[in-house]
Amino acid sequence: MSRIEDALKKASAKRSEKLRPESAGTAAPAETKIPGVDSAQASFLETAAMQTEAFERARGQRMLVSMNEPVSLAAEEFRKLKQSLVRKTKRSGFQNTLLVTSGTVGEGKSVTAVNLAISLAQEFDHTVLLVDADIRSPSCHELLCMENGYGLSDCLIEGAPISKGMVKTGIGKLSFLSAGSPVPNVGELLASKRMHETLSEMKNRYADRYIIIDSPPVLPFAESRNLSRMADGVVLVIKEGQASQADLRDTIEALQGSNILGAVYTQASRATRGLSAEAYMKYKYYHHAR
Amino acid sequence: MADNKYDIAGQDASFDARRYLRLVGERKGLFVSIALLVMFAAVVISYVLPRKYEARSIVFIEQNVISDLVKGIAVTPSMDTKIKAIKVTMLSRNMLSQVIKALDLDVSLRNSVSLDELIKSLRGRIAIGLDEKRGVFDIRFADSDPVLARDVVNTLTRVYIEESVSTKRKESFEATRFLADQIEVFKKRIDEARKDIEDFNIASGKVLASNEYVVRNQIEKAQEQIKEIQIQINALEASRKVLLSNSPSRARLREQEQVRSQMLARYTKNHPRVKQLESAIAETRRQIREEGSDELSIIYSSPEYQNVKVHIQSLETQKKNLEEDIAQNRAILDQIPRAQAQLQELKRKEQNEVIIYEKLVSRYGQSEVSKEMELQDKAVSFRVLDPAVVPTIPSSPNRPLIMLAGIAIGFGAAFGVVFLLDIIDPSIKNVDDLREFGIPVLAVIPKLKNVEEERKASRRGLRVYLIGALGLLIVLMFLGMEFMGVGLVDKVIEKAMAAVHQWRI
Repeated sequence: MSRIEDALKKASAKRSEKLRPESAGTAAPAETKIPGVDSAQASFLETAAMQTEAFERARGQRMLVSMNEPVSLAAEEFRKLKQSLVRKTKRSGFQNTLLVTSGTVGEGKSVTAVNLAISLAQEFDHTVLLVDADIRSPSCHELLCMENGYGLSDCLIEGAPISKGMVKTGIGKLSFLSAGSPVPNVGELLASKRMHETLSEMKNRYADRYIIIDSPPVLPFAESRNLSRMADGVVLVIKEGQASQADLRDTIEALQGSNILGAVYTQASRATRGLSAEAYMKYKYYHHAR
Repeated sequence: MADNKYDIAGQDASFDARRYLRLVGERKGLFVSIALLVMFAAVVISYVLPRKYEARSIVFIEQNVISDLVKGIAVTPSMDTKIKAIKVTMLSRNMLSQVIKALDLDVSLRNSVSLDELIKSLRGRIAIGLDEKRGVFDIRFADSDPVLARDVVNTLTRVYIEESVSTKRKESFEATRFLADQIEVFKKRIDEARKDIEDFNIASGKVLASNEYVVRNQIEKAQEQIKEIQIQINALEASRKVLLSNSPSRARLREQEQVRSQMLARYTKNHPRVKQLESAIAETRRQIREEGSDELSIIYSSPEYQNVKVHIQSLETQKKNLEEDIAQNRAILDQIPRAQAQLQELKRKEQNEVIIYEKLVSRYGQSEVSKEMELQDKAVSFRVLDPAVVPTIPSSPNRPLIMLAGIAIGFGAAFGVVFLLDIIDPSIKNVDDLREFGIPVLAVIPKLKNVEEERKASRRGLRVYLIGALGLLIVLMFLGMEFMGVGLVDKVIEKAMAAVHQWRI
């Protein structure tokens, strides 16, 4: 948190000396250039400005490999993940809501979700909405170096449209819906009819939009079980040396009825990855190519 | 293709080794701490264990003289048996009590129970090694007091040798005495045998002296003589008969009968002359019957008849003598082979006794010599090649070995714990594990790099490895000191002990 706060402070300092930062090229500020703005719009402008700042900051975020280290092995793997997901989701119609979850805490759901979203957003064909449904302990905004402002929980409680909380990140065509303020009854909230409606609305609004939902872990909480059934596909994140095989079995059992598209194996050690000569050569090849 | 296969196999092997290394790398803190803990424990143990000094003496066994001496006459125990007996004898209660007494080890003992225990403990700690091929055995004893260790070994060796020498002397004396006794016995037996022969000679001297051939000749001659005498007797008998039949009445009867037979040729029986003659014959016969004996006695008393009769009698006697001679000679002839066999038997018996006797006598001479050798200590059968000296280097604990073992066990235990943890860990460690659940693996994302954290981790890892290396170095330093025989640590420990002691006082 402190790093982000630092970054925010730095950003505000920058803003004070140079009110319009170098954001002319990006799509987001285009809307904010409208003169005669009301208070809401002012706040939107403010948000937009902050987005730009966030984008700048996100450039320093090491976890966002898809954006910051496009030639790394990890970025390549995320690209592979994206490709196979695109292939899978387009096979029978367009199944665009993807739930990213895992069995236990801390297996790298958010990192995977954010990187996958960025990877998808960098393509020309897709717009992407990243939804942080992990209201208990949201972390996507940290990864994107943004604030957890008006978000999913607020929208659901107020019955407001999702667009109210959606923020453009400035990274490709990626929008972000943060988790929102903490609520005591997360499970009920996310299992509610309203959530269902909201999700289908999101799904059907744009034909080419992918909705990536970052969710809490399956085993300790109930939310993901509901969400997984609402989503078109589930991506299971499994960290090396974390969950036991029994945990994984339980997780798969808990996710019955949902469409598990596949697993993402994270934090793989060199030995596990097999470190095939091919992968290494490719890596080097990219380095030389750069 | 073959090359390909080979490559794959090689890859697998290296993959495995790399996996183990990675496991160690992941838990380097645990690995290093376990390894160091075990190593230092080994070092501490090697110094804490009570030191023991082992004294050793080597004794050479020489062949027993007596056994060679009485070889062939008597059966003596072989070398092997003796060597085997050494161990039993040396560790016997008798021997050990002598050692204890000699070294005043029993001063601090309270009762016989603790003496038993002392003997038992000595017996357990004394090691006797036999090298039968070289005819050498060694006695070893380890104790925390090097001087005591030496004394025990030397005393035991001395006591044993003394004991065994005295036994051997006794043995030698006994052998000599035995030989003397036997000589005496055999001499008596020889004498007896000779006396038997003599007696026999006396008893059947005639039989033994007579020649078979001569006896046979004698018998034949005697038989011939008998025949001649018989002829003479027959002749005389005939003449005696003639004399008897020459009496007057008989002669008349004969004449009459002659005439009658002549007359009967011419006449019949009833012829008067024949009848007359017949009556005359009858008369004559009656006459003979009535007066015959008178006539015979006249003949008997006649000198002629007497002469013949005497002659016959002397011849009869001669014949009888000859027959007796023959019978006697025959008897002798029967006895000769038996008597000779008997004599032979007796002689052989005597001969046997004489042979043994002579052997005994010659051995007795040797025995006398060996007895003298024993008496003058010239026939030593045990020679101490290497008497025990005060050991300066403790034999146990074998510190370098314990330390080396500690290093090995430390690494082994650390590896073991790490692998065990890996085995118990049920978590998914491999992409292959996922395949079992039938979930397609869409991506395998490596650990995302965090430069700062990585640097921290590597610094920490470096520190851990440094600590490990330092610890190992220290252990190796101790090991090196022990290998070089530098007693630095011992001195330090001694000084510290002394200081503690003083401080307590």
